[in-house]
Amino acid sequence: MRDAVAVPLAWSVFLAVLAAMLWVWSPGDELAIALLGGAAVGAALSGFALALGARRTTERRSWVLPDLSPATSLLAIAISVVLIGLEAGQWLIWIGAGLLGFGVLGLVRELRLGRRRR
Amino acid sequence: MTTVEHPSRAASAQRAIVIEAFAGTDHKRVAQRLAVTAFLFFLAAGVMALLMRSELAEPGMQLVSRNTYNQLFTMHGSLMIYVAITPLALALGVYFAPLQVGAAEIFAPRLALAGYWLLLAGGLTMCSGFLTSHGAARVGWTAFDPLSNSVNTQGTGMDLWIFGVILAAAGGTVLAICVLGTILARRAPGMSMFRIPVFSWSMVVTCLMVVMSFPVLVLAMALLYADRRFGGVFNGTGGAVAYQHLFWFYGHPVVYVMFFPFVGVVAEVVATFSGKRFFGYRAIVLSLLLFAAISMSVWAHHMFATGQVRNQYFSLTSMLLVLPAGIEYFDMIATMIGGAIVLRTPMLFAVGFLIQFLVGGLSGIFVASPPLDYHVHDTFVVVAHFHYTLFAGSVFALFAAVYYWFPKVTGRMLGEGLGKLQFWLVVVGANVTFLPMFFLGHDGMVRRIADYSPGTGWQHLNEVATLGSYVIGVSMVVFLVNVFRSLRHGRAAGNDPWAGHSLEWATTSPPPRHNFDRLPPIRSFAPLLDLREHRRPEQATT
Repeated sequence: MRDAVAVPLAWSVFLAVLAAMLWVWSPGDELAIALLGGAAVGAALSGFALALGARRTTERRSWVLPDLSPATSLLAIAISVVLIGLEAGQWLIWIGAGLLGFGVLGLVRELRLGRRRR
Repeated sequence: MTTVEHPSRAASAQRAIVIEAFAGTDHKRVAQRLAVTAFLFFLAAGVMALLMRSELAEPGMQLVSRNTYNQLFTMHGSLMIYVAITPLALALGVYFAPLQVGAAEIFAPRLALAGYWLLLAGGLTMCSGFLTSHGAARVGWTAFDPLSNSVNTQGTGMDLWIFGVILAAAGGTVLAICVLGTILARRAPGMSMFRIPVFSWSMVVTCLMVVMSFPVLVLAMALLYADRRFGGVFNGTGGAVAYQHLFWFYGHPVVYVMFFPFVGVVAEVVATFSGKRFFGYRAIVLSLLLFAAISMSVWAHHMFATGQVRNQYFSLTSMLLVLPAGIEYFDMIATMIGGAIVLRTPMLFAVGFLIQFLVGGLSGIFVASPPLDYHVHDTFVVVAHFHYTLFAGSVFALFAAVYYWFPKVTGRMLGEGLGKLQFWLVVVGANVTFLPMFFLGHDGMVRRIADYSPGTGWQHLNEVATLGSYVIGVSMVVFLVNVFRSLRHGRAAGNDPWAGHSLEWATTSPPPRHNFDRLPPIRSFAPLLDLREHRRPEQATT
């Protein structure tokens, strides 16, 4: 997986060069420089995260893959309901929060079961 | 002897199907659900386009009110970009990237499932604006501030649109993380980065762009909502320009998110149907990485007319895009040269993509030049340009992908006759619709208008464009007939009906839950072609 780490890092170098060019060309354009520079930093960070993940994956070789995860679907739907509740009213936020609670509990249960099976 | 199924067993089987559809984490099922959902949004957005074209066919208001027309063009663009073409591109990655790199499963399958639900919720939330008293959002898919603030655009439809965009962008981001993680961290033994197929490389750069740019859209939408609710976020000229920077930092990369996966598809199709190894593999990989990086730095060419950006820099980077694009075109054409080309439907669509996209790409060079952009800004020239890239380009490649991979996904071949009929209808429809728009725009017809004066002389070209859009509509009906007929009566495909080059053709059609029972040796980016070339000399000697 080490060769994969080079991909986001190389990409971050490309972006950093382009951001530096923008900075030289247009030093007063702070927001534009921050956006492009931020993307370069983000790409570099994802490269480092990948390198870190690679080390952990070699340490922990097996994991259980879920076939079904109703809790995940519930969580995603709950997040959407809460967000729409900001417009529709507090009643919908409460319903979304309830679903979110069920989703989190279900996910914890799924993860525990998975760990037991490993 | 006939077997009678016990009613309770049938009921439990039905229940299992429902639960699987709701919560199944298999990447292939998630991708299928995503593709079907996105295609339904695509059809809905297409119907809106037909309504708009019908309205524009003649001067005067015939079909819809001006307010409804504004909602139609806003929702057409929004559905197409946020919840149709982008998710369709990602769905291809979710399904085929794990197969191409020899992975048993996608990285973080629960996250992929969540991504699907967020995207679906995003699309439905956007559309729910039609049910509100003020109607759906009506400020264009870009929602520029101050047009989109609470003073100029009242009603909950606009707020629902903002939430829909946030959900869709969040869904797209998590799906991209899953695909990227799979390619970078879940590859089969022997599958080094320089052995992954071109399509998977195109997904790597696509997902990098998604991960870096989509969160900025979420931020822009959150700020827009705060501005509408509390005010004081995007104030004055500076605020309007700041919003545009944030929006276009997503808005331009997303064009490439809807392009790179399809370049990858066309590369696979061209190599397979030319019976040749892809030409210039390393060159296209490096050009994709460079292309993606440069295309992250061109966003402000959409803002030339504001007078608030450094035009020279953004014009230069926009022009630089022709270099990697040229390498890709060169590689694909060189792959075909000297090949045993078989013109089946996927190849027709792939060649169609190369020709049609060229029109969009070349007209892009003109609008990347500030003086020319000032002339055509906000006219139908721009509409023609991006429809040549997104419809006449990406959608052609999308159909190449559908005809190419349908046998792998379903185990059945799509009908060739109907496929070719659809191809020619789309060629005629796309060009008859979008080519007149260049002339209309050059003549001064601005975009986003519901009506024009009879004295402008634009009626004939608008009639032609409307006729073309109906032909596109007919082509979609032909496609749907082909899909439903083939699902029932299509010829069985077998594992590798096209003599493909990459690993997805080494497994059954459709693939099992764990993707592969065994993998062939991986010594290049075309392991199945290696296997065939290795066998041939042996067969000759025995």
